[in-house]
Amino acid sequence: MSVQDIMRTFFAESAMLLSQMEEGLLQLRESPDDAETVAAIFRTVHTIKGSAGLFAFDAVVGFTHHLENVLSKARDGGLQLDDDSIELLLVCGDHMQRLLDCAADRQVLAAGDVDTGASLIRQLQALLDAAAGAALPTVVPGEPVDLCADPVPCEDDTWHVSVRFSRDLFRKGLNPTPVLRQLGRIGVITHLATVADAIPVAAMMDPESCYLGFEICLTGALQKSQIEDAFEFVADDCELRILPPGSQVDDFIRLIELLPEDNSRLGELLLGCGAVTRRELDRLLTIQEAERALDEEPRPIGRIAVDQQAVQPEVVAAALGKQQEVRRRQGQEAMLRVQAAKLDSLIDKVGELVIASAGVGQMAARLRETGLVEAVSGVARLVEDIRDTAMRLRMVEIGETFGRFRRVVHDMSRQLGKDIELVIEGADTELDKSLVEQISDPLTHLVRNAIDHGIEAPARRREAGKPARARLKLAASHESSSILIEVSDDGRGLDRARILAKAVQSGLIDSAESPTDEQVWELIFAPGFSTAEKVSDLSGRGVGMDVVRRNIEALRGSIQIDSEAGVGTTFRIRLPLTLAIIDGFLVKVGDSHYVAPLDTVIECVEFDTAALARGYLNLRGEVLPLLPLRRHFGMADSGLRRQSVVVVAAGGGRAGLVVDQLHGELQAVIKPLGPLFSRLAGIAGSTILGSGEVALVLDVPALLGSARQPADARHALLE
Amino acid sequence: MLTMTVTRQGTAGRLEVGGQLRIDHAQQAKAALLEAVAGHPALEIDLSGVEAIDAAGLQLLILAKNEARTAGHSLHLSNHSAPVVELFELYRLAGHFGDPLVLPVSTDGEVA
Repeated sequence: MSVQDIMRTFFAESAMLLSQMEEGLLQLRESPDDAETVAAIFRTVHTIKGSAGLFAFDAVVGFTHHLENVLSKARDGGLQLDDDSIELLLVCGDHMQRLLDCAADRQVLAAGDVDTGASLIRQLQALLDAAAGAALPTVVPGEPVDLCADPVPCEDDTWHVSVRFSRDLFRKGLNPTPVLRQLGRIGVITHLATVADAIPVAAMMDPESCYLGFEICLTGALQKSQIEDAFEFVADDCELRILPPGSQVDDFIRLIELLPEDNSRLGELLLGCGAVTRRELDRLLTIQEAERALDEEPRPIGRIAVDQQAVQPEVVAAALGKQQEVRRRQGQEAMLRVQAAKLDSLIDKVGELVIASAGVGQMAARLRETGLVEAVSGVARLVEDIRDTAMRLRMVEIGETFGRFRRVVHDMSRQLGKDIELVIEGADTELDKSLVEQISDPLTHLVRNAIDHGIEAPARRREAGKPARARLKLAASHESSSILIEVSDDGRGLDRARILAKAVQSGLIDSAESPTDEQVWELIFAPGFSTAEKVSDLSGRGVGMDVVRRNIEALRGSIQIDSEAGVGTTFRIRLPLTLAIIDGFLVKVGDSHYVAPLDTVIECVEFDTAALARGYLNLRGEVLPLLPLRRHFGMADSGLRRQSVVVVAAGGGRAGLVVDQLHGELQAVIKPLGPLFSRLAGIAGSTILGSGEVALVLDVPALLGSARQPADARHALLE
Repeated sequence: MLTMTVTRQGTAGRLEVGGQLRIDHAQQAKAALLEAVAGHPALEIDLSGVEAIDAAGLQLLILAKNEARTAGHSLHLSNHSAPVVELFELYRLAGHFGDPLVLPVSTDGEVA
């Protein structure tokens, strides 16, 4: 793993931790006295600071340190976090993200952000001062706050240094002793443990190999680089891990988990915590050794420690608890972080396996050998199982996406002076990863709309006899083979009269018509439609409901509205479970196969070629524009006497695709086309048929666009 | 230059180490130490003659202790010479071996 890889992991983890922190802060607003949550928030911030320190992202460390101080104070009960301070902490979280982004891009922080940071630090400091009863003025007013000042003053300044030397150290003429001496010169070695666990049994031990390592507590006003410099000469021959001052038990546990010595060293842990001194620990070790020498089952060191009354039982219990918690967490999260590309490639291969297995199946069927056919069908079943499992690998829970809206709701309701509770249901509903990413924007729009337009101000709600606190619900569930996502509010509901008036005004409908409610709600999906009297800052920023619908339909989903005046509005979004496999309808044009997604196909009709020449069709009295695929894809006319028309619909439009032959339904594993074909209109992807031939998947909405009803078609029909 | 002299008193043995307990003589030291450990259920290693010791030498003492423990033999280090005491202090290994260390008067008395 290269440094780059580790850094990437760090940034990914930091982003995750920041979102956890945000979630925690929002939770805290609901229950301000939740000590657990405060502690959790502190830990996330602390972890980011610690890891950022490892990479010497000083700006991040410097800023985070101030945040950490406030949180640590809050955790210890010395500071009550009210709404305003939570708001401040949220903004600080945003600033940390900016700092991390800058670090990731190796950019210098913009001047404006530097000012923001300084102002945030002042505000954090003000919080601390207020908590300290302003008795201890810790900051001189007017003193410039240097964001990049790296020697961050710490409560204590004990560094933990963990090092394992390479086997070849001695052979290269190197020696750990000078390193220890140098460390002793730059700071005070308060604790040191020589780790010689790697020494094998005598027969395997090469006396010229180095099996040593150290766990060192080093105290002093140091910088990380100074410690690293002490290891300069052996840098290539050791694994060095440095924990900055103020690292928490968690950090040590992580360190312990990283180290090769597996018989997890509670002793070292206790030592690192400062719960026991080196001397006590040595005695404990000696006792344990003595017992081992007596061939007894050695008592765990924690128990010896308690029996010898070297430590408080609670301290050991806490340390043990920490260890077990880590174990448990690791057990639960027996998860692997896998690159999406690897997963995609696996699914790709599985797709090909499905195709290949279909090919074998066809061949076996042709040979009519019973044994072979049976064997092949067994394989086919397994392959299908594998495909389903592989597809499930791409599934992620929607909860994280939903969780992001807590912040949106929080910020917007503050800004608009509304009191809104966000209710999340079905957070564990799983859907395809790419769907999750793409559904986020439409959802944001719906949520913003609901808060801005749907939910009334508290006063208005009270007048209407509703609780002042509004409810906004995000819910997800499985519904047959699709996912149902609901965004509902208990606001004023859609205003039928106003939508109608607006629609008549913009010529969408005739004033004489009296459409059903559903038809009225449909109107708000028309491009550029807005009933808002004034465009507010929060929604209506150019993205209309038409875009929401288009986005959802691009995912082969649908959106539906339920609304009752004064009671509320519910948007129901249905999405397919996955994007990678579709039910398709196979057609042939010339020598090429094409697949239209089955849910866009309405019917198939057959006509004389002559009847199709006009470019439109009278289908039971309706004008249907025709799109001859031959012409669209630049092929010569077929000369066939009769041709088939596949009637397709998408986004409210309909058209007839003129094809040579109909081949029926199939399940298609969609493969994306290379970048070379990205600008090809009317093709969404490709798939491989059981015969091994390639079929192109039609992009029906795009095709409908190019078959847009010719201006003269309506007149022509009227003649 | 490394010297290893074993004297036997009943089941107990005494190994006198002298000279340079360092990487240059590591092979020789390993063989002699292990032989002494294996041959004596109770062994005392006299370090008074050690003029110089390095991490490799230290490692061998740890190995000897490990082997003795595995074999169920007892192993004690005694009469640590000044260079040994200094290195033991630096590596904080006194506790590991559990043998009394006679400290030079000049140190502040804190062993570990």
